[in-house]
Amino acid sequence: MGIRIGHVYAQVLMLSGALAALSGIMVSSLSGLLPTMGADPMLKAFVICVVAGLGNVPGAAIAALLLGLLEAVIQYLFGVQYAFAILLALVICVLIWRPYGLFGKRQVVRL
Amino acid sequence: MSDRRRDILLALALAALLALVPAVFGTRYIISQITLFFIWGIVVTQWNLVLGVAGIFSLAQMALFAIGAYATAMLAYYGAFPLLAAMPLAALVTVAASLLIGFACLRLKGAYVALLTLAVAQVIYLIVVNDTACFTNPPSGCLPLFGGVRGFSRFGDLGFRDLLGSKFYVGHYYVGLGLLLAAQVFCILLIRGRWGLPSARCATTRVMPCRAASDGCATSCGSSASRPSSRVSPEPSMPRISVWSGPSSSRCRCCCSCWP
Repeated sequence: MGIRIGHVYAQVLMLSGALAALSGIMVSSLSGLLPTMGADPMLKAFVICVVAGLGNVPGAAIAALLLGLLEAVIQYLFGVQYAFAILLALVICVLIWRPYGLFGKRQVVRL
Repeated sequence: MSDRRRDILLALALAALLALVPAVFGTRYIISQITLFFIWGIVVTQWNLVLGVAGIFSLAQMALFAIGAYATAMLAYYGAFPLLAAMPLAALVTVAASLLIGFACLRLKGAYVALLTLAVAQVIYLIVVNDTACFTNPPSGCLPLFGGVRGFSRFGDLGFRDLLGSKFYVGHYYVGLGLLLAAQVFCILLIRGRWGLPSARCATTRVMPCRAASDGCATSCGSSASRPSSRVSPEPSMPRISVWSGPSSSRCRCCCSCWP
């Protein structure tokens, strides 16, 4: 009876691992590989997910595009070193005033 | 003996044992390593207070650690404060910063607190590391406002080099030990005091079957709380009793406290 939580967790991790491996394979054809190269995309993915609202797939796609452009504009106008800090400050503001994300609706709390 | 007294006595006994270490192992390596252990022990103490007791999954604690360290260094480096004055001032700065972060987290819970505090910590790290513009130009070369990747060094010491000569690290050892003891006693008083957890606030706790808890607890609490030797209230006072279920549902933990 019911949903087997352990199975669902394992399946979700398997699928997300497959997607992560796919992007890793594609990156390996473009740039050199380093053990630390994952930290930056990881944080950016986190920024995008939080700004879009956790679990919102179309919102994440739009937020990824917008935040990428915003980062480029900040880098061009103010300087490269401020871009990521300003993105993270944006996350802080989103979490304070719209904890469910820019495109998200007020919804049940997961976790 | 109440839990609070027991914990404080334990902390004092351990500190007294550690105070003897420099007399037994005199080498600089061991003393410096134990001094580092004291510093990380203080970090663990506060982390235990935040996550272990209050249940706030904050990843900004090391950012607060950094704010304290950088505030001390910058006050001493730019303001030429002696370290003994810079350290309490830096503590005030850190309290202000942690208040700000705490206000930002007020409406969040669980993983969202972790996300926000991680973002705060990363912003602080990036602001420090990515700053390359020279703020001052000391003889050792360009120094950004927050020290950049190079960081601050030689901004003063606690004066043990003048006092103890080549044995200055022993002075640092005792400062670390004293601060760790102060942090632990502070935490014990907080956890076992009025603001602490209900379970930790109890003078005595007893585990018993739930069915018997309400009356059984009352009698056992009444007898222990109204003892004339009770230090908290010399007058026999009405014990405050609360019952909640323990880890297994058939057993209850009952709390008997005799605060007025």
